[in-house]
Amino acid sequence: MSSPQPPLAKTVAIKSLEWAVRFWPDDSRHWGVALLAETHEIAQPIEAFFWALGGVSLFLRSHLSHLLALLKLPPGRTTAPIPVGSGGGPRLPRNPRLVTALIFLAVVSLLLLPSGRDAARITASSWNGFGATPGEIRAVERLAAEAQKAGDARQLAFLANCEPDPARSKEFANHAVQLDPSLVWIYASRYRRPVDTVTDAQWIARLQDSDPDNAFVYLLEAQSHVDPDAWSRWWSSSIEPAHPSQVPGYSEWLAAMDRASSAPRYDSYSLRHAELTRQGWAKSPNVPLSLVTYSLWSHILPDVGLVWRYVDLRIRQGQSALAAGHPLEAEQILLQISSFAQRMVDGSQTDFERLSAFEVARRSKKNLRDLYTQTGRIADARATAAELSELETAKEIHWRNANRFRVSTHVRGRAILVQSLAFAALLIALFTLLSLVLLEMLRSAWRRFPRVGWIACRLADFGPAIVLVLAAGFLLAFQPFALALEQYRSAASASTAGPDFVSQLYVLGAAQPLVYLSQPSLQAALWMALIVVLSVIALVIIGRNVWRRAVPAHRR
Amino acid sequence: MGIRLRISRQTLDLLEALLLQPSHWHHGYALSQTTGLASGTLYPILMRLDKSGWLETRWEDTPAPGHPPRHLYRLSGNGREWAREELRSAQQTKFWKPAHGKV
Repeated sequence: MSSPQPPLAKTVAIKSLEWAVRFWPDDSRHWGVALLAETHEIAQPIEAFFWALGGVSLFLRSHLSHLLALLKLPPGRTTAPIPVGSGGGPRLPRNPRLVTALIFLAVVSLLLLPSGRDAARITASSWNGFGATPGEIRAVERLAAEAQKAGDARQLAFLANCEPDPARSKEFANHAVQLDPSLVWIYASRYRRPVDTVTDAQWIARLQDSDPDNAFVYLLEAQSHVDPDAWSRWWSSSIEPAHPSQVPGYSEWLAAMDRASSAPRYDSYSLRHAELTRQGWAKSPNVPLSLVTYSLWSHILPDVGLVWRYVDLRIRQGQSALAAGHPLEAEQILLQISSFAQRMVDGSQTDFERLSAFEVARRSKKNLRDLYTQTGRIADARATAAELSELETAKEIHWRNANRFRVSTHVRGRAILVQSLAFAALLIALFTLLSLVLLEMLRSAWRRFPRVGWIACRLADFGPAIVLVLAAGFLLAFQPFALALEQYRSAASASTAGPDFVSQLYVLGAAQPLVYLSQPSLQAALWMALIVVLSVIALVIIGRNVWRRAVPAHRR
Repeated sequence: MGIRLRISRQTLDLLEALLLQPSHWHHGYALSQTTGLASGTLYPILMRLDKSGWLETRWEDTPAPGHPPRHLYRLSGNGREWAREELRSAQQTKFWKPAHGKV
C-alpha cells in the first residue's frame, strides 16, 4: 500500500526549502538543513508553508549578509584576510571590493550627470567621426514619422538633414517640401549627401525655378556637371583644355558658371540651414548630437576650386582680349568677375564662403588694376589699387576673426587634453576591469603567473582611483566645449553661437586619439607623455604610502 | 565572550523558553510554538546566540524513519547565567514581561 501524497502546501514548502538549501551560502547552510528538517515534522500544511516562507526569507538574508561580507574583502578573496606578515599567502589586492565598487559607482555617477553624459557622448562620437549608431538612426526615423503624422514640415526638413540614409532622407525632404514649398532650399542641404550620391537633376531644377536670381543654385548645377575622374587631367593643369568637347560636361559647367556669375544675388542658405537645425534640435532634444552634427556639416557650399578655376579662365580670356587689342572687352570680362566676387562677399554667410569670395575678388581686382595700368588709365588704376588694398585689409581682418580659424592654440590644447584623458580613462578602466575579472574568476590561473598577478593586484588597488581622477579631469577639461554646446542650444539665433560650436566640435574631432596614430603630432605626443608620466608618479606616491602604512618601520 | 547581542523582546522570549527546561534539548519548531515566533524571526536569533557562544547545538541521533535528523538547541552553562541576568534586568526596567511566570 502506497503512502498518501502530502498536501500541495506542504509539498511546496519542502520543495522550496530543498531548493534554498542547495543554493544556501556554505557557512550557514546547516541552518537551512535544520529548517527543512523541522518542516517535515509540521502537521498542518499551511503552517509548514509559512514556516518554509520564513526559511526562504532567511536564505535571502543569508545571501545578502554573505554578499556584504564579500564586499568587505579584497577582490579574489572569499575568506577573512590573511594577517600581514603571515607569509606563504598569495599576493592579493588590499582594497575591499566595496571600495572598488564605490569608486566605480562614483565614476559612473559622474558620467551620468547631464554634463557628463554630453561629454562622454560627444567625445565617443568624435572617435567615430561623429557617425550615428543604428539605434540613433532609428530614433530619428521615429521622430520623422511623428512629424509626418503631425504635418510639421520644418521639423521633417530638420530630420531629413539628420537622416544619413539617402533614400529615407530624400523621402523626408520631398514630403517636407510638399507640405511647405518655401522649404525647397533644403534640397541644397541634401545635395550629394553622401558624397557619392548622384545629384538629383530635378532638385536642382526646382531650386532654380524657385530662386532664379540666386548665383548659388547655378553653382550647384555647375558642380553637378563635374565628373572628378574625367576632369582629373585638366584639374592638374592650370590651362583651359585644348579640346573642351572631350571633357565630359565641360560646356554645361561653363554655361552654368556664366549664369552664376551674372546672377544678381548670392545666398547659400547656410543661415537658414543653421537656424532650421537649431530650432529642430530645440524642439526634439532627443535627437543625438552626432546626427545634429551630421546635419550641421551636411549643408553644401560651393566648390571653391571650381569657382577659382572659372575665375582664372575668365581672367585669361580678359588677358587674351587685351593682347588682341580689345581692352574694352577685357575690362568687361574682369568687371563681371569682380562684381560676381563682390556679390559672393556680400552674400556669404560662413567664414569659408567669405574667405573664398575675398580671394576671387582679390584676383579679379588685381588683374583689373594691371589692365588699367597697361592701358594708361592711371586714375582708374589708382582707384582699383585702393579698392584692392581695402579688400586685402578686410580679408586679413576677417581671416584673423574667422571662427574656423579663430580656434586658438589653447582650444586645440584643450581638445587634445580632453581626448587624452578620455582615452587614458577608458584604457585604464578596461585593464582594471580585466584585472578584477582575472582575480575573481581565474584565481588559480593567475597565481601561476606571479608577474601578471602582481600587475592585476596593483591595477585592482589603484586603477579605480586613477580612473576616477581621470574622469573628473576629463569633465573639467571638457567644460569649454560644454559651454559652446550650451550657448548653441540657448542662443537666440543660429548665427551667433552656431559657428563657434561647430568649430569647437571640429577641433575636438580633429584631436581624437586615432588621428594621433595616423597623423602623429608633437603637441599630442607631449600631452600623452605628460599624462602617462603624471599617472606613473601618482601610482608610485600612492603605492609608497600604502606600503609604509601596511608594513611597520622596523620590518622594512 | 563572543559578540555583543542586541537584546530584543523576541530574544528575551526565546531565552525564557530555553530556560524553562535548561538542560533539555529543544527543537526549532517547538521553540517557535512556545514563543509564538515565526521561523524567519526565530532562526536569526538562534544563529546569533550560537555565534556568540551562548547556545549549544547538536543533530538528533535517531531521527524518525523517513525524516532527516533535526537540529537541537539548549543554552550553554555560561549562556544560562547570562540569559537569567538579561531577563532579570529586562524585567526590572519593565522592558519585558515573562510569559511563563517568574524567571
